[in-house]
Amino acid sequence: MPKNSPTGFVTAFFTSVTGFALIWHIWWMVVIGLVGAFATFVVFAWRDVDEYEFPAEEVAKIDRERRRVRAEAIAAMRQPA
Amino acid sequence: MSVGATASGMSGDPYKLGYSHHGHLEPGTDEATGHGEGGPASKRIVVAYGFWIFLLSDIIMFSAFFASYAVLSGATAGGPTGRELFDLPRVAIQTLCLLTSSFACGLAAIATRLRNHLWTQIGLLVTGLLGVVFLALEFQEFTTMIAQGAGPSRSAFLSSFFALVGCHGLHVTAGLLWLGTMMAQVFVKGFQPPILRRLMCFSLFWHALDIIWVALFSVVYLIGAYS
Repeated sequence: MPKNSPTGFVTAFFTSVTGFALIWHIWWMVVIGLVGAFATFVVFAWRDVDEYEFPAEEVAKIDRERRRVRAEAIAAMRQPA
Repeated sequence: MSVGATASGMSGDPYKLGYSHHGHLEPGTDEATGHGEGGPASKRIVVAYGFWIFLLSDIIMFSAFFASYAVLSGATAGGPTGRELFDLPRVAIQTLCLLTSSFACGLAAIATRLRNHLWTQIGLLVTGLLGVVFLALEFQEFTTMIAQGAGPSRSAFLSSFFALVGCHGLHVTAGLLWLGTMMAQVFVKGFQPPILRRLMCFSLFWHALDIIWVALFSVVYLIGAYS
């Protein structure tokens, strides 16, 4: 499974800063926005571990537990109150 | 030959990557998809497919800029025309730079396939330097035009010209930043699978920019200078 990452949000923040600065001709803020977005890109690209293992046994265990709870609930409903 | 369907089960080769229609393959050698028992595509194929979709969306954006330029190329509002502004020798040198840059990128890809660090870096460096020369020439063209009073606000023709050519120039700039990052990653991390996939994507990107430039050269500069 791919690991979670806040990169999308952080990049969107910096590009919004860049867009705002471009509209109002605030050139120093344009530079900050672009450098920030590029730095985020580099940090994201430098990760060595971007996936994690989710073993099939774990999925099966969770699924068994879910089915057991559901079966119990159904059995409880079928019993006359 | 239904070994793959029955024996693999939950362990070993769960996605039957090592099997095809024709029976047993060496595990990991079959990257083909759509062969029924071939299983899901390898990550290399998936990444390249996704990147092609990005490139196609990029090309659609460029086609919109091309269309607006084609419509507005005659709308000079009494200002300078393409024939008066375009400096074909400089554009020829730009074209040569970009084509040679793509050639160097191809050589770098061959060196990567041979796992040769030195020649990969040399190829990427030449790719980048030629890209920088291209950008410098384009910058010179733009500043000369603006100094002559032929900036993007002079006429609809010049607005669409700066939008189209400038968009390509921004792509080359972004590509150079990516290229620098890739060279650093190859240097620090070596030829790991993710790095190899990124090099492949960069190569696709750079060649796509080259194709767009060929269209730009023909539609904007050649037709503009001779019409």
